[in-house]
Amino acid sequence: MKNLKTIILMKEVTGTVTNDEGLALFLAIDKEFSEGNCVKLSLEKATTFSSSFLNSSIGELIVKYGVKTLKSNLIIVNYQPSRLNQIRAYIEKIKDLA
Amino acid sequence: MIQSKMIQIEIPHIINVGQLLQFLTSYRGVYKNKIITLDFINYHFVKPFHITPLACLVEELKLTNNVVYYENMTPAVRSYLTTVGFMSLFEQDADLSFIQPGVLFEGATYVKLWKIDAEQIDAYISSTINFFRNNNLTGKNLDALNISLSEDFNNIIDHSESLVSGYAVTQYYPNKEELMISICDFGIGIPTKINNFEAESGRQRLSDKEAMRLALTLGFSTKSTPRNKGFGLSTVIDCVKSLNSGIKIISNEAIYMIDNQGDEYTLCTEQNFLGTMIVITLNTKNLPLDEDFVEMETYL
Repeated sequence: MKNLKTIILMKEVTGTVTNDEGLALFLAIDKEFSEGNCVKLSLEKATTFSSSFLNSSIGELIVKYGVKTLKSNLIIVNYQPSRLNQIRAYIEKIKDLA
Repeated sequence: MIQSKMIQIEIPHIINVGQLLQFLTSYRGVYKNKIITLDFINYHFVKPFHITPLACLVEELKLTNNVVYYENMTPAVRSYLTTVGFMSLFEQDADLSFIQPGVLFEGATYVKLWKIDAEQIDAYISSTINFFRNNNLTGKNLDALNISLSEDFNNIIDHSESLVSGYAVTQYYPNKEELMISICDFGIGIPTKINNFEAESGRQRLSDKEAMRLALTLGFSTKSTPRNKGFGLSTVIDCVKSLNSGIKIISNEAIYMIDNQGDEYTLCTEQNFLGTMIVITLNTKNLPLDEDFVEMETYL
């Protein structure tokens, strides 16, 4: 059985605009995925995601693990519906362009 | 000898963006090592979309060792330009290398002119959002403002190749219930960037109008950085459309706009603007309400 690790987004990053911040999130989730863990990602106090931030975080996770693995192993909690919808819409755009 | 160093530039009475850019184009890259006086005698009313390209022009003049003075400002124009931070940004000994983002006093309807700085983007956007949330748009979801700023700032940093870093200002008009965002850079321009990419890829040059349309297509990217995926501008436009709001993007010899009726146009302009100017007018009546956080767990 996989372990479930919690990552609080706004403790890993100071903002959700830049590529660098997106990379920080990618590295935090990638570390857990590569050890075979699932991740519960808390979006408490998360600010609006830029496309650059999503490209460098969710986008790079999709490149490395694929959409199916990402969706199976990442749980979202403490979110505003708009934040969740941003990530979902981003994944759909990536799938449409693939 | 001294007189040949002194240049007087009269700022015209500006009604629309086209007039403004035509004026700017006349004076771009013309002067070096001169004493330039910007004469405001015909200029009486300031809008955000005037300030950002004017700020770019003044910085560009200073980068070519010109000294810039101002004269004949009406008290109202001087007061506005002082309060919004334009005057202090360009004081004779002002250090342009580092400018703190700042907001105005409580009750003020605009956020100060800001020289775009990659290291300060998060802080600037955060302070801008908090300002409007606490002062004018309490209880509203301000994702649209955040997206308008963040996507455009990232585009300037990733793609513009601008020696002048770019400027932004945001103003709320309570009577019209509009939030106007003006961002300008003096980079190579969107169509030029697209055509450089097309040329490197062995493809034919596009007209500026065609290049602008391509730039706004979801998924098209010049890959200025490896992670660019071409989502930025289309995300801003989707946001504008969802709020029945307006946008103008002017770059090189093209303009893209969505007007008050929601109609979209991509047109040729009469002058070649070396840079990109974006003016977004958000209809704040249509901003959704702010959301609560959901504790429930969910998969994507």
